[in-house]
Amino acid sequence: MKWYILTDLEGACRVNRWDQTRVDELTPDKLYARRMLTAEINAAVQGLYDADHEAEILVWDGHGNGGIDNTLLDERIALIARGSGIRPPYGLTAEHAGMLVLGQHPMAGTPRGTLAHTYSSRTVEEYRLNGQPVGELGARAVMAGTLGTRGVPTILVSGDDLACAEARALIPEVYVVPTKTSLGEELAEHRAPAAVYSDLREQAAAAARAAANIPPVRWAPPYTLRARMKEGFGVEGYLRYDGATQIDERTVEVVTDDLTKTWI
Amino acid sequence: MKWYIMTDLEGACRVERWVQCDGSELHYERLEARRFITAEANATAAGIIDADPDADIVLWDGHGPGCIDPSLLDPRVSFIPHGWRIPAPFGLTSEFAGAFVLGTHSRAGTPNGCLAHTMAGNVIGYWLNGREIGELAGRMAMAGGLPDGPVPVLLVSGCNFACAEAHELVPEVLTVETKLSLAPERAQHRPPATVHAELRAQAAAAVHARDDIPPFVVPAPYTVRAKLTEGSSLDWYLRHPHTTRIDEQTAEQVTANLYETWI
Repeated sequence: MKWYILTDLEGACRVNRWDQTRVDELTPDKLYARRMLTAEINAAVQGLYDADHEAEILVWDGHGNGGIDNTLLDERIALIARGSGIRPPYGLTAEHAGMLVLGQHPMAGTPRGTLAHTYSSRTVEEYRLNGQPVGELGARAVMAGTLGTRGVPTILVSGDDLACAEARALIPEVYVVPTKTSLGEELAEHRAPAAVYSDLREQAAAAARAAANIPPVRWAPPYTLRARMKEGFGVEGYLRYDGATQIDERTVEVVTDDLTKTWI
Repeated sequence: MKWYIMTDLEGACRVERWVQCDGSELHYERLEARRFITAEANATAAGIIDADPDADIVLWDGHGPGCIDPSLLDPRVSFIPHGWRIPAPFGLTSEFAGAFVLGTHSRAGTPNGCLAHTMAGNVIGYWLNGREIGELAGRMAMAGGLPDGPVPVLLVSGCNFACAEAHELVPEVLTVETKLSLAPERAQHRPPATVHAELRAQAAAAVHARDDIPPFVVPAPYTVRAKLTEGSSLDWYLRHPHTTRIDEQTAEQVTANLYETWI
């Protein structure tokens, strides 16, 4: 079967500072963060193979400036590298049996959320989808749910405790693997990586076996996606999307039947 | 038998950005990229040796600033490093039974071609006897035009566009796709383990199929044309023999000898 893995960097174990994630240069801090995330991906991949020996796995590195060390990434899987410049649905198709989201952080504004943000950590205050606040996890899970005739289910989420809670609130059946407990914007108590890896392997296998019983987040169209910027930031970048309407100085909205045509 | 491998970098699996390919400094991204193409070269060499245990393999690193990590290259392979320090035909002679072209990218101007280019960033296009060519066609024509007899290119690996171009030139050539080109600096990469397994299997198959894969032969004399972007200097091109300026952006050379050309 085909499986899709979406990764971000801020939710990985032992990652808790912006200077590990925001920098474009491959500093020692960034290299370390990439190695930590890549080890988590490899553990989840191993779990998928445990459950499905014929697994065909595609990973999309969804972190803007890249969160994966491609030299350490499992060589059995296909890859779309880096986050910027690629349009939704980011290589995900209705043929994928399930989506796994690794390295997930909580949405912008989450109290005590480590590296909490929504898309742009510098500019975005909040996203709402059909009136409900969503982070990257929620937005991508809903988008996956719109694909094809039944939607792709989000079957496993790993990240800090708050990202896992966010996932469970949206998808009660989803498998989760906490990597750390958020203690503040740049502070966390990290679990033992070895425990995280063995949980990821086990839970990825369990999630793959249960995938048919995990419902996609299937919301009915039309979709109203609203983005609100932090003070001092405008919405110019969003206005190039079809149907985008400016609501006020720092708020923009689009109403659509096709979420993949938006900035989701 | 003697087998020749030439490598470029931009077409390797998990390589998709200029920062991985350019510059003289061996920073981390370039080191990564070198490892990827070197693994592909090793898989190919292993396949050649599977089919011909006494294979005498010479590898020419055809990427300008170099792309092979010598410390990881299969020690059974002879090695000519660093692209441009050696004149054409880059160690290739008619004694070789066949050539393998790895890490191939699409030519300049290919829509959505990942790292598409022809030689340098200021090249709009090259033409050989009126046909638009990229580096792949140039190298295949060079191998097919050796004075003591043509050498067939048996196997080409690279992005989907590069493989398609190889089939257009010689339908019988074997190909291994490393990735699907999506944009100038973006691709969907196949699993390296699959790419390596296919390279090994197809390299062995290419050795066995050697007599059934024709060389790419372009009849002499050769008319080679280069068109550069506006404002680029044609000086380097005009230093080649039998070369004339067609217009501000275009140089043309007519010669009986392909190694006198810039392709």
